[in-house]
Amino acid sequence: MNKKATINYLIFLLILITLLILANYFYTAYVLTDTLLSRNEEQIEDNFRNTKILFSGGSHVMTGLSPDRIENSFNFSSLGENYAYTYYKLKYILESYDIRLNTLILPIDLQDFSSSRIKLIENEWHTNVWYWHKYINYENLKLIIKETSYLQWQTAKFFPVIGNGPSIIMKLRGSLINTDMKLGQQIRVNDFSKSDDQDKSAKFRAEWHLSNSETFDATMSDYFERILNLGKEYNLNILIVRFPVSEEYYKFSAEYLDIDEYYEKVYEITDKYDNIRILDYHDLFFDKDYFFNDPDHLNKNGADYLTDLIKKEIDM
Amino acid sequence: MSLLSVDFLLFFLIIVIIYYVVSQKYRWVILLISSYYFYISWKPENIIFITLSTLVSYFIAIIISKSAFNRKKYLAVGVSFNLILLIGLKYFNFFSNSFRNFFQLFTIKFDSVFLNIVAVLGISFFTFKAISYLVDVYTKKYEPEKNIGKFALYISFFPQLMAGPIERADRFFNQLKKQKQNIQINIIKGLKIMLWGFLLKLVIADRLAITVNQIYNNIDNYQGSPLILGTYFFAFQIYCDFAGYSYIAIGAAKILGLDLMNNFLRPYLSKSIPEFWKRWHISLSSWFRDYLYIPLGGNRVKVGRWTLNIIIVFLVSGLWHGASWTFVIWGFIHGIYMIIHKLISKFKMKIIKNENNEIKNSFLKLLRIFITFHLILLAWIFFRANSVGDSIYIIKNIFVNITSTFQDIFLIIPRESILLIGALLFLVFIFQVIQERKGVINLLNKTPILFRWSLYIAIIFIILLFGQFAKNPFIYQQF
Repeated sequence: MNKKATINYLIFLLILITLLILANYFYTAYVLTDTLLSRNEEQIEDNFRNTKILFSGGSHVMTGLSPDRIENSFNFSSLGENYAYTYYKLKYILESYDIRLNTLILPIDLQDFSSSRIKLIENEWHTNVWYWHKYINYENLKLIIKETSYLQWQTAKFFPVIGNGPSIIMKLRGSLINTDMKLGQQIRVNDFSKSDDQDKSAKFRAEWHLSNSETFDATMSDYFERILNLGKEYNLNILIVRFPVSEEYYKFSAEYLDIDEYYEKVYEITDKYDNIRILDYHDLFFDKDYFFNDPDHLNKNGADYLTDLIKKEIDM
Repeated sequence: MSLLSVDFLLFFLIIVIIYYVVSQKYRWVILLISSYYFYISWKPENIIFITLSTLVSYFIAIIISKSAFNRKKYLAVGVSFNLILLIGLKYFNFFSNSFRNFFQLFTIKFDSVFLNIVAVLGISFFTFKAISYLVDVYTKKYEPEKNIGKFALYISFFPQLMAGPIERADRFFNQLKKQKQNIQINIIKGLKIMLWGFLLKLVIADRLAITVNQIYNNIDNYQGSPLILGTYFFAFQIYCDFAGYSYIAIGAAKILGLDLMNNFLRPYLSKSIPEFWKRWHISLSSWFRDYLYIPLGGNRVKVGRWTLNIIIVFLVSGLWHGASWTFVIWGFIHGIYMIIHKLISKFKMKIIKNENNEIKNSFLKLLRIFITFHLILLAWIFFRANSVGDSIYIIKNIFVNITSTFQDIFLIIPRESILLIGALLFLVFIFQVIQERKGVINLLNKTPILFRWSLYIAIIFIILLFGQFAKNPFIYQQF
């Protein structure tokens, strides 16, 4: 290899690395901070000292419970979060934070035990390592999903910009922050009753959650039990909630699984614990589509209404 | 270890350094060790089958070359062994199930046996390499390779182990012997080819796959526009996926100083189905031509026999892709296309000969590309669908309620993604057209260094930012 060419290649490499570092810096400073995960992270840091009631889980919880209506509560959920991630997040804050929790709220919705929740991590774990590495180490991640790579984990940890181009586009289009977040709750304001085609979107959501997957996955039920055991260990009262969904969504979901059989299996697990109460609100808003943002997520009004009901249960 | 992982890049970097540090004489040893290491990193138990195929093929080839008599019998033993390995491990359960279903049609009870077999990675590729080698030694095209290590390397060479190209032994061994090395050119050329492969696979194919899977795995929920979108997307997904793999393999081999055969030549710009098969998965289609079609008589037979030959070749080709009737039907459709093409080609020639108008010729050319692409698209439905029933459902419903289902597309795929995918496909299209006319690399070499570097950096950034880094296996890796 001649000297001039070698110098050229080194210059090229140097420019490339510099640009990557710069892109990563700008992404971390200006884009990442607008993401839901980052905002949730920032808010828990500000609020964990006062938090006694914690809402954990996926998007149904994140949009469906309003911590501003229950004193000392915080919504610590994230979109697509499954029981495995919830377990590690909960374990981390109980062990590492000076937090005095007394109540935990968990969802038991139709998609929560589905293997599609693992598929979601398999598809997306590498894009949010910057967030998850704090709560879950690589060895534990490997227990949940087999197809991982330590090098990729480390790369994604230090270069969150990798694989996150779509969020840069969203930032440039001004659509990255299109919802407010308050005490961890993502506030959604759409009115599903005004949707043009409720049936289609409900069908799509049910399909997204439940098609081509095992509806009661062993890994998910194992982590669910781990959460309950952790709650027992820390003397937490656990409220397990079947979140309200639209009637359309419920109807289409029934095409993918036997709902009664599904909940029999869930209750077989919960029956083993005496610190648990189950609150079934799945049909609470069957005739009130205006409380929904979309077929299976509550809007702010719906969330406030539901939170008030749950508050009464906590106070009992 | 996936070709797409950071682990592979590190592994490959180490191999390249060691490869160029050691003396030329022993470089093949480095490649052999790394190939076996690469294969073991997937599923250690698979090593048994590739080793068996290698050993049997190696010794039988030697025996064939030394025998004056019974050469055909030895060839039959060698080929049968590889075919039994392939059929036993890949198709046993498929045939067993098909027999059971067939007998059930006549209410005859047939107790099928199903084997709990693990999928052996790359088996369709390494057994085909072994078979072509045995046939070539039998036909005295070349002498068998004496060095068992080098032969094992030919069978297991890691860049092409999972999904080809199905390299011919003489080309491979000649390159090992020649050892012509311009390291700098090899590395730079190889890196450029790999980069293009990563772009096709990680950014385009895997992004399209999300939508295609969503639609094709839930077809009962769709009619009209989403089915059209899913089918178009699949055509580009499979091209970008497989061509992406081939470019990564060819680029990696190039860095190591080996030229693998080209596997794709812009197939969707084909003006006819026979042309498509000269441009799509070239290493496989030429394999079938040389080792199945020509031995069957090729086109030097009567029309009836030729028709049968074509159908046999395409049915086997379909079955090679996977143990499912959907693949068989896909192959059959292409066989029918080939026959129809032959029947109408005389008529078509007359039309073209009578035309001297350049604009009309260009229009006819575009029309032929358009028609060929859509015929291919129709066949892809069977290739991708999860069952024959699904394929029929799609064909029945693909033009139903097109306008009223248009909005459904945006439930499946966000507008941002459509824009991104559209832009990327346009980029690929432009590259293909330039490559077809002048050659991208030739054109690039004439541009200022600043432009070239900017382009390379832009492509690297597109891959890093928009790549789907979840481990999505290559489609052809599953064959």
